[in-house]
This record gives sequence, C-alpha cells and structure tokens, in this order.
Amino acid sequence: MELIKLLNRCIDGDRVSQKEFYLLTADRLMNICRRYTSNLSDAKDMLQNTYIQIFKNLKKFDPNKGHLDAWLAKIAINEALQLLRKRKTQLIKEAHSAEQFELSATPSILEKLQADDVLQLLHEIPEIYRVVFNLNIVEGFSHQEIAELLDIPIGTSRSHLSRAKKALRTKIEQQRKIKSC
Amino acid sequence: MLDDHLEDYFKENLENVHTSWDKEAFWDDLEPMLPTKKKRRPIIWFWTGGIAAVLLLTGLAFCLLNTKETTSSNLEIAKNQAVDNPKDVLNVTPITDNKTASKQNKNTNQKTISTTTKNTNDEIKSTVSQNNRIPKINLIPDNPSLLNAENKLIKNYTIADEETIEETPITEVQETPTLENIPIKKVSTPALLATEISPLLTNEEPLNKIISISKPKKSNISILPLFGVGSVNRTLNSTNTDNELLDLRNNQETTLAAFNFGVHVRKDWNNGLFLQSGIELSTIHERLNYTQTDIEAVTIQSDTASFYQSFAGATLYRKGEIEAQSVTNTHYERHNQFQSLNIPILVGYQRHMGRFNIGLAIGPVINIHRKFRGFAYNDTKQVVAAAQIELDQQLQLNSIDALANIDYSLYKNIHVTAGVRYQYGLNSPVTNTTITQQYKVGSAFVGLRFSL
Repeated sequence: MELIKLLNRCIDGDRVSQKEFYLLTADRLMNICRRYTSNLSDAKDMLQNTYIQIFKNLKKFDPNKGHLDAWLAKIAINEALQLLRKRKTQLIKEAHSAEQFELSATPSILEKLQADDVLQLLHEIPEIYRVVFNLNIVEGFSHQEIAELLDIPIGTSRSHLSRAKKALRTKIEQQRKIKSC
Repeated sequence: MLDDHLEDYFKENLENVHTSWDKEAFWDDLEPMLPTKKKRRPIIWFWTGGIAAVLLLTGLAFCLLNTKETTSSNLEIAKNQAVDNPKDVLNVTPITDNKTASKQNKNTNQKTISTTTKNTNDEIKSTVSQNNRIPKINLIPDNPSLLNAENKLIKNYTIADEETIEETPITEVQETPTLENIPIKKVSTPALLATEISPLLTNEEPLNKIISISKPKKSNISILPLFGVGSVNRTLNSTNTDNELLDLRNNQETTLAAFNFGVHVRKDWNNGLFLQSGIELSTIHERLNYTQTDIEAVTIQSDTASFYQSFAGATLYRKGEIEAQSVTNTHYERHNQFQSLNIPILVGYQRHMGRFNIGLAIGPVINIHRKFRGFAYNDTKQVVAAAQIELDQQLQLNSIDALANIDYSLYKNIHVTAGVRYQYGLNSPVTNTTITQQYKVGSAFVGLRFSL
C-alpha cells in the first residue's frame, strides 16, 4: 500500500518521493547494469537511462500485470542492451573456442570464489556470451526471447550459452590453478 | 550436474554483487534529466478544439441559412406586412387607362403572386375599387431617401395585378400584405443600389426580373484540396522489445519523409478572419538498411595443422575435428510507414493584396486514426516479411498546427494556394504501453481554393 502511494507521488512528479524510490531500487538496478558491462561509467549511463525511462513510464505500470521488480529489471536490461548497441559494441565477435581447455568446475572450486570474482569472471568472457548467459541463466529469459531481443537465431543463442559456460569453466579452472600456486 | 552447479552459483552470486558508487552524487546528476510533470495540455486543446468546432458549425449554419433566405420564392411576398400609408412614401397616382396597365403587366409573371396575395392595403384597395384602376408608381430616383422605399414600392406594385383586381372581389380580401420581411438585396454601396435597382424601377420592369437581382450572395466558403510534402523529426522512446520488424527499439531522433493530402473547407469573413478545417491523411516513411547476422556452429575436419586461433596471448595450431562458426550476413531493406488520419481546426487571418492573399493560421489537430505498416525486402526487392499495427486508441487532441500561406486569384472563384506548415506533436500514440513517440512535421503544401 505504501509502495503504491510512493509510486503515485512519483508519477505526480514529487522529487522527494522519486529520490526515495531511487534509493530503494538503485542498488538492484545497478547490479543488473554491471552484469552487462565491465565499465562502471557505462553502467552508470545505463542506469541513468533506466531511471529516465522508469519515471517517464511509471504511470503505465500496472501492478496487476506483474511485479514491480520484474518491470524495473526489464527496463534496465533493455536500456543496457540499447546502450551496448549505441556504443556500436560488437555483440557478435569471433568467439574463442574453449574446447581444448574444458575441465570440470566442481563445487569445491566454486566455493572458493567470492561474488565479486564471479562478476570479474563474467566480464572476462566475450560480450555476446556474457549477454546471453545473463539473459538466460540470471534473468531467466528463454532462448526464443533472447533471439528476439538480440536479433539472432535461436540456435545461435543456444550455441552462445553453451560456449559461455565452457569459457566460464575454463576461467574458473585458471583461477584455481593460480590460487593453488 | 556440473551445469546445475555453475548456473546456480553464478545466479546466486551475481545477485549479490556489491558495487561501491556514490548514489547521492548520481542522483544529483540524474535529477535534472528526469521528466517534469506535464501540464494538462490535452484538456486545453480539447476545449480549444471544441470552441473552434462550434464556431465552424455556427459559421456553416449561418451561411446555409443566409443562402436559403436569399433564394426564397416570390410566394413569400404574400406574408409581408402592409404599408400603413403608401402615400407617405410613394407618389401613387391612378392610371386611368386600363389598357396601359394591362400592357405594362403583360410581360410579368404575376399570376402566382396575385393568387396568393389576395390583398393590398386599404389605400390601394379603395383606389382600385372605386376606379378599377391599377396604381401607377412614380419614383423620384434622385432622392436617396427613397432608395430604401424602392423595395417597398416593388411589392405594392406587384400586388396590383390587373387580373387579380378584376377577378377577386374586394370583400374576399382577408389578408393584408406586408413589406417588412421582403428580402432586400444587400449591396455594399448606395451607388450600386441606384445602378442596379433604380433603373429597373423607373422602367417599371417586371417584378420577377427585379427579384432575380436578389440572387444568393457569394457565400465566402471555399474548398481546398491540398497536397504537402515535408520532413519529420521523430522522437521515439521505447521499452518494447517484441516487434522485430518495425525496429522500434532505437531511442533516437530521426529525420524522415512525410506526405499528406486532404481536403479542407474554409469560411472567410469580411474582416479577414477565416476558419479552416478538413480531413487529411499523413504518411511518414522510414527506410532502414538492416543486416542480420546468423552464426551457426559447424565442425570442420582438418587433417593438417593449418587452422589456428589466438587464445590468451598464444597462437594455437590445431588439427582434427575443429569447432568453428559459419557466419551468414543477410541484408534487408525495411520500409516502415506510419499513417494517420487527422482533422486540423485552424483559425487564421488573411490580408488582401491585390490578387494575392497572405494568411496565417493556427489551431489544434484531432488525430482520429493511426496505423503502422512495415515491410522487409531482400536484395531482390521481394517482400520477405510484413507487419501491421492498428492503433485503436481514442481521439487524440495533443497536437498543434500552424501554417502560413499565400494565394493567388487565378480565375473568378479559383485561387491557387501554397505555403509552409509546421505540425508539432503530431501523432503521438502510445503503443502497447511501451512506445511513445512524437512527430514534428515541417512541410510545404500546394493546393487550389474553390470559392462556392
């Protein structure tokens, strides 16, 4: 109920309420943006566009149609992808084959990694793999949805996800080796 | 199993990544960029449009009624009021020669009038009954004060039909003809009245000929077929990611081509003001070149170590079964059309300069229908995909239209007109609650104006 009141005040253009809303949601949305870019400055640009869109379209949000968090996340993801396109980032790059380094990523190895290390690992794989991995594994989009979002065939989306996983396993193993030395 | 571990682990940890950043400073930067609360302009436009529409309808009704009045038949003369004392304004003298009177009225078509106007005023009646003669009317053309009376004279004259007087007993006369409601031709100057009416009266022209002077006056209503071509500046904001074909995801301003044609109706007043409205179809065209890249995983059999790749700073030569990628680029040309049906309501002012008229007008635009259409063509210009979105929204009144035009009198009632026009905020629909867009259209137009 309080949230709806806050949203209504935001829609009315009340800056204090908008700031309150921003402080409540900023960390989560920044987190989403950070997953799509390794550059903090780019992430801030994404977040800025996200909030502009949120406050512009807040009156169109219908609580009966979905959860606010999901709606905010969708806008953030969309803005992230748009910014990547605008920056003419080559989403589709010649990817490295990680086949020959394929090793098993066991739970014991994973336990040793911190959350920030995980983000770092994610940023080390090719961007298109990272985007597909984020959309599928973290955000829960289907391959059909990813294909539509990124203008790629469904098969390509599956293939990118598979490669992303392979690359991540390789990276994890490399880290394990470094730490064991 | 491993996949499950990896996926869960990444999912869990990526949700909890902590990024240190200055939220306050970020808000300070963000705040000026946030949209301010919009004023309720649509309501203002609603009332403005409503008032303009009422004015337009009133103007049209007035013109139609006016036209009807001037074309009223001769029969209406029967309803006119009597002159209390015609001698006050007329010099009525009995015509003693009945033949002369008959001769005078032979060419007239008074039968209709006579049978309906069975009466005349007492003065004339008595003259007729006593003398069985038709009153003759003598005008004093040089006296301007009689100019207004001339019309009254005409009516008395018409009543005095020879046949009626002879056939209708005076006792049967029940109504008194009146003059007050007789349609009087409006002319701009007394001189024109004198030249057009006085000679007819002095020559004792037949009534129907005189009445025929009172033709419907020029209505000051004109019809304008218009055609315009211009440039559109579009601002498009979208969170929509579903419609691939229309490619509405780019949040950017683009300059596009626009065409519109329509028909307007215009009402002019003598003081230079005019009201113009009509219906027009605007089409905005967008052409995009698009390359779709399909990447498929393929396996290459290489028996020599000629296939290499760079990885982590090292160059690796490989042989055997090698996983590679097949990249296919397909070029498409997309053609998107945005069509809208609009009703502009313009109020303007026009200044006459010889055969030229220069005018300015401004007013709201009512948007009544919108439609998106998109086509994708391949390199051989074949349509490979098409889509259409009908926007079933309510009437929108959130645009403003301003135009400047110059027209030239080509022929009696035909003007050629041309000008420039700016439509701000035209067609700003919201699609699927995710796309908002605004068009600003600057265009040049040409057309013809036919005065009715």
